[in-house]
Amino acid sequence: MNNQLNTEQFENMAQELDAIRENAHKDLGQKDANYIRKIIRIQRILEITGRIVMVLGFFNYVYWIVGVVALSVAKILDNMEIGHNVLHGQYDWMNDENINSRTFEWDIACDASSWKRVHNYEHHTYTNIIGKDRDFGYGLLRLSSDIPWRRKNLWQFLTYFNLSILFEWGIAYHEMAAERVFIGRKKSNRKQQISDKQLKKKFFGKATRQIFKDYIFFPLLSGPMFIYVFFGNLLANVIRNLWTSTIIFCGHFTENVKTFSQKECENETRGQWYYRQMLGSSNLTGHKWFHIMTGHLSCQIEHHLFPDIPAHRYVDMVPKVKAVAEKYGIEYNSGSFFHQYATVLRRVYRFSLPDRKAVIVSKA
Amino acid sequence: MIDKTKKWFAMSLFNHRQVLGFFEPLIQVFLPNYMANKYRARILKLRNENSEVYSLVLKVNKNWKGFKSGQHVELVVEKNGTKLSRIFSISSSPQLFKSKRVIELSIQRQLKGRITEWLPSAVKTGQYVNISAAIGDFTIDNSNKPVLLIAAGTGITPFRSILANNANDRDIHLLYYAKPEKHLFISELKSIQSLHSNVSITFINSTINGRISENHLSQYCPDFNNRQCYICGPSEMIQSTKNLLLSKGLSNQNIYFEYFGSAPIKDIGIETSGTVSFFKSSIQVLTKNKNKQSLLEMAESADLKPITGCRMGLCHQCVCEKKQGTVYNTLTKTFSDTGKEDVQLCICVPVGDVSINL
Repeated sequence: MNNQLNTEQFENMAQELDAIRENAHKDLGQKDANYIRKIIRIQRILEITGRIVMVLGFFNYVYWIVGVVALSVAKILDNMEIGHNVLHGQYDWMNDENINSRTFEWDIACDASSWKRVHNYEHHTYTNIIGKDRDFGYGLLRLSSDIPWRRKNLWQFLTYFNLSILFEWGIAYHEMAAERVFIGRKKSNRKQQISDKQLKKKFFGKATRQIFKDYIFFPLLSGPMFIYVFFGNLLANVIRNLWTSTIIFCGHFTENVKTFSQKECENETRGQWYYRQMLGSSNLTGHKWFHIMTGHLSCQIEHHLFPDIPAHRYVDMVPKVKAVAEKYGIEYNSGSFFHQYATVLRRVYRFSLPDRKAVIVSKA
Repeated sequence: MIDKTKKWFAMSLFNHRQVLGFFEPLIQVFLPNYMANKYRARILKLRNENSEVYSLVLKVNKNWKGFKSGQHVELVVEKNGTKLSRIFSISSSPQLFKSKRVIELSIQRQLKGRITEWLPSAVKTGQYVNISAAIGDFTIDNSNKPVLLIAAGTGITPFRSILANNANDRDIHLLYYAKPEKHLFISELKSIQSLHSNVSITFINSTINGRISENHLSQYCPDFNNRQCYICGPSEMIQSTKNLLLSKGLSNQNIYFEYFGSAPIKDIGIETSGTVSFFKSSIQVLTKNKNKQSLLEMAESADLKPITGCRMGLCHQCVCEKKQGTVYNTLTKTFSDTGKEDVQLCICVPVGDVSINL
């Protein structure tokens, strides 16, 4: 159990945060519906123009560059401000058949339902609990001294770079718990809701559809521009991968983000859960459009406290949450993109080496 | 096979089951309230039939395929960003649709109803709403068998359409129960009656004469035994009428009925007992006032295995379609709408009868 605060303080803090949630929830309505539809419209326009303008690279390579940029931004909007947030159920109250967590599918290799199962449940419920939150380092990186050092951690900087480039495939593989499905490693503490066969079917089904779209259909459609469109789409996917991976790492793996053990989180109260969410996340500051491009994961703390409140409202919640954090003496981790990202890189590097301190402590 | 291929391509290229779903937000710029899998209809007029009932007169889009008398549609309107849907019978005739592409939905104002009370004040003439294709099999066959229609209250709406359509060629008797002064379409029904000798209509004041009884049948329509009987009204009225007819020797296959009027949101918090029907698995669970269980717990106790996650309303894993009925969300402390929508099973408690698509 976390005991920085006493039971009563945890309880009061929970009530104050619940009140912030309640205020936002009460106010949901037409403006949120209009907002998400506007973002979807912008995404559609960017995607359509991106795919068309790329082909005009036939006349001048500048068109190709513009097309790739437009498609990259479209994919980022689709994955971040639209997909991630819709799949969190933030817009389920709209009762719209195309904008809800049950039917939404996104432009990324990972099947939406598999992602939703692991991300919304395991990652958001057990945030930063080592051994339960599989997203902490994705089983590839050692980002805390709670994880025993292995030799492969020595080159984890390179692993991290590769993961960023291939992020959508890493996520697709990770969210289907591929080590379980393909290699047969089972963990006893996880109950299985979906059979391995179904998981495989979803994985290959979605992967085939994505590959068909970006690397077969649209290149073929553009005829003589096949190669240009093929590589344009590839580049757009890579740009999206780098961006999403970077933003996500800034949300949970900055230098001062805390981790938790399974034991200290047993029988957690709602207040303690809130507390862990705050300490396990970090924010980025920036312009309105920067927030939108991050899917408001720049307000990772607010997102983790209130995962199903429409994300564009997080910005207004920041000062209120900050005030609660200050009142209870809880660290509120926030900074500029470059500052936060530098600390991420430092963290990836620091834990690639064995923990010297730990060795000394164990000797003493 | 073709459908499957089409769906695969739509999913692959557009990540939507229907290609038009992808373009929907763009099309909405040009066609307000466009929905890829619904039809658009323009509000021509909102006509008050009496203080409790109004008719929504709609000009439907060209691709809407028409209807048979007695069928209903799902009406979808957007209220403060939320799409709300309700089922309403079409009360106008197929002839009106064929000549002008106009249909009328006659709607009873429900006390505290989220749509029916709000709609008249919120919509403007010329505004667009959405409707589904016509659905339902509460229709009259093509034979020339005589017919007995029994309506209570707003249950008259499908019969208004049936009378307008079949008055020329069918022996029809209508028993129409309503509270004093609350009979709808009186002049219209009377003129049909005076123009067609084969149509007879009995207006019955239910406050004075009570509900349907053996006496009413033998008094107003003695040959009811030779007729096909159609019943439309509140569920208790349908049950009792059906039982009466069966006891009088009518066979089940000659009795047709349509439950009518979505249950209004009653004083919730008091009455929470009812039946939760899990639609796909056709399992029904009774709920009692005392032990309030979440829908998820109820489903699991009935050996259903919905996908679950955090069990605290956070992760939206257990979201499931509610077909109808009201649920109480224990996290947001709000009551749901009565129509079709997605709900989180782990934090929702049923209020009265609820049907879940599980």
